[in-house]
Amino acid sequence: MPRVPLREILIGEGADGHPFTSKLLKSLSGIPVRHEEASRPRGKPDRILFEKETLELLAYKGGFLKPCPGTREYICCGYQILNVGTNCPLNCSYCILQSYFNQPYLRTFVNLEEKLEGVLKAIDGEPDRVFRIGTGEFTDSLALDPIVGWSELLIPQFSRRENAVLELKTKTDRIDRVLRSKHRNRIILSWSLNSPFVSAHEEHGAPSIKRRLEAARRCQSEGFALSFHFDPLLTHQNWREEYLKTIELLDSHVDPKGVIWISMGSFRFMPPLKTIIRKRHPETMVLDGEFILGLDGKMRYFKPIRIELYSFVRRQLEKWHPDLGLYLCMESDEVWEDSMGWSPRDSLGLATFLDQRVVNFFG
Amino acid sequence: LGRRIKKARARCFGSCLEGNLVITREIPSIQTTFQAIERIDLGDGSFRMSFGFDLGPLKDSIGAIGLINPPLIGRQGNGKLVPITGYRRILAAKALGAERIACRVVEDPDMSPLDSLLTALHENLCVRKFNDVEKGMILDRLSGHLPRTDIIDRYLPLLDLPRHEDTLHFHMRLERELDDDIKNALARGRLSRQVTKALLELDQAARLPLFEFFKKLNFNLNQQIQAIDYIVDISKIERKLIRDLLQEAPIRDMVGANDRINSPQRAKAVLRLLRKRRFPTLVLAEERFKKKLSHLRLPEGARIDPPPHFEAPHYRLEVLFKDGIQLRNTIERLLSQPEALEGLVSPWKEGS
Repeated sequence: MPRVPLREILIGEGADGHPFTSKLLKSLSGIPVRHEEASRPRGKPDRILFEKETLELLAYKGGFLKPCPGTREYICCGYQILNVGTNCPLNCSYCILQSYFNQPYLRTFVNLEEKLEGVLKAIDGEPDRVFRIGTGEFTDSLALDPIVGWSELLIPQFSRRENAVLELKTKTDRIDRVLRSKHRNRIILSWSLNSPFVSAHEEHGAPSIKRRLEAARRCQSEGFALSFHFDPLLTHQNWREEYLKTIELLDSHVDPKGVIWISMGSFRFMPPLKTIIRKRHPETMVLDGEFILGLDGKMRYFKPIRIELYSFVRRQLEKWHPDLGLYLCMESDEVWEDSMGWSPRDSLGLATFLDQRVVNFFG
Repeated sequence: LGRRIKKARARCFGSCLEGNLVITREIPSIQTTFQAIERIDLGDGSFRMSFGFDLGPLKDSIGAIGLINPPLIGRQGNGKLVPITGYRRILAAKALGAERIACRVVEDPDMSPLDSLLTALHENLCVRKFNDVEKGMILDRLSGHLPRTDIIDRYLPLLDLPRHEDTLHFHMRLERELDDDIKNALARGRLSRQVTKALLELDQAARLPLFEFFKKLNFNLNQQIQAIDYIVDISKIERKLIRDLLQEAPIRDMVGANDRINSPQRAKAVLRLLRKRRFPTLVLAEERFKKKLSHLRLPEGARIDPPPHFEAPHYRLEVLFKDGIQLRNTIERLLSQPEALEGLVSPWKEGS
């Protein structure tokens, strides 16, 4: 049985009769299957009723490889998203996916394998460009891996490309299928980290920081490159001490020389998410900070608070190791300067910095 | 008669929904009789869809020319008379001192409750707009007879509402959960839909004190939205009940400061107080910046504004001038204070 609790499988548009669907249904026998009605309810469903125990299979009609939806007002890393599915079985109170998608289910795209060909062709068509690709933007890269097994499809393909890396970003410890792969090159196993307090109170259903780092240690010992994302950084009572605990755990579990990069991003959200969070997570503290409307239309901490968060975590991480490829996610030149002591100036500068890390790491 | 009414209803509502107009005369053909007003159960709201109305104009009209369109009354199995249409007309007649009123009475088996409800709905629909509370009353009553999907698909658009489950949910909650005082404020436009939604998210113990607080301060709609946002946030952050928060000395004193400042000033002062408590770092930065700016002795016609919330990188200098000479003089006066100019840094960097 899968380690992901599923109550129902929904066969959506284009998924009926697809070989991937048949294979998956065979492995998930016993879980009720429903075919999506031809006429779907009009209007957005109630986003509060976020259904995390229904897996919807469908053929995705859009592009599978898309640039990270950064905005020009802040410096973006130029990451590419490989869209394998949407939503996530975890239930983090701060998750932006709660307001991001107008459908409530865990979605997996059954046509990934055939569409991957086009993605790889596009990558191969630009041999001088470095593609930093990840699957963890609209879903957790590994949360559904025990069921859907995307890692088995993706790892060999990306491992043999010289101008791309694949970053699998997760909060889980579902690494079994990844470890079974014989490929290591150009695959980055990545964990979202937070303070133990945030992890315990806000990341519902996710393994503890310690368990995540135990999984990271195992992957590192098996030869995988690692990365980490302190995102969203959140102010809370004793946040300095709490983030320090996570960095101490990092130190005791991971060899920093095997870390390609670590990002930091402070909590930001579209304004309507606030109502959804209040309703779904009445006890949350993630909305307690001083949020202002950012230049991209998202709420974010007032600037000096962000600078303080980044500066503190950066200093502690640099004490651990001086060359961790630290960078900020969606921040301004001024915040970079004031918290990191340098700035890539613009998105191109940051992309160049990270591309160089790839070259230094993998050649 | 029963068959005629049902047929008429089917045609009438079919026509409204499908645009296939059929004018029916069956309901008007029911004989008009006079009924004692006291025998009509005005407390029965089964088919009522009027709320927050002003009876004055209707009273004036009936007083001037009498009743033009007799209300439709249902006689239930137990003999009780309940208004189907014309609730306000009956109220107006009663207020004018009438003891009896001309009505058309339909007997219980002739018209089902759903028939009666739809009759009332369509009679109103074409002649007036419903307020949000009335829409809530209609949708809530319909929900007793029809599946939600039907209501969303057919009746939300009829009421000029989007076909969303959450729209139906909100309007039904309005009817079921809010006190009449709050409904009245919403119906009369003194409370916005957004604030009402926020009030619905609070428990009853918080809702009423907050509503009373709004009433005392006479906030405009924008101020209401800001205030409720601050208050809910502060209550969550400080783990305090909203009721207790509003009773704390600084807020209570400001709300009660009738003698010193007028109502709009009071509303603004309370908002400032709440904002400072919700955003202490931001407000401190604004105050520091303002202080710094005051040291600059800006020439007349010149002003400096920080970016909103200090988020964008650039401050704005605005200079009004009539000609180049005035512009030069203003700039020279500005440049004559190099120390004050150089002191204009992001407020949180002061002393760092």
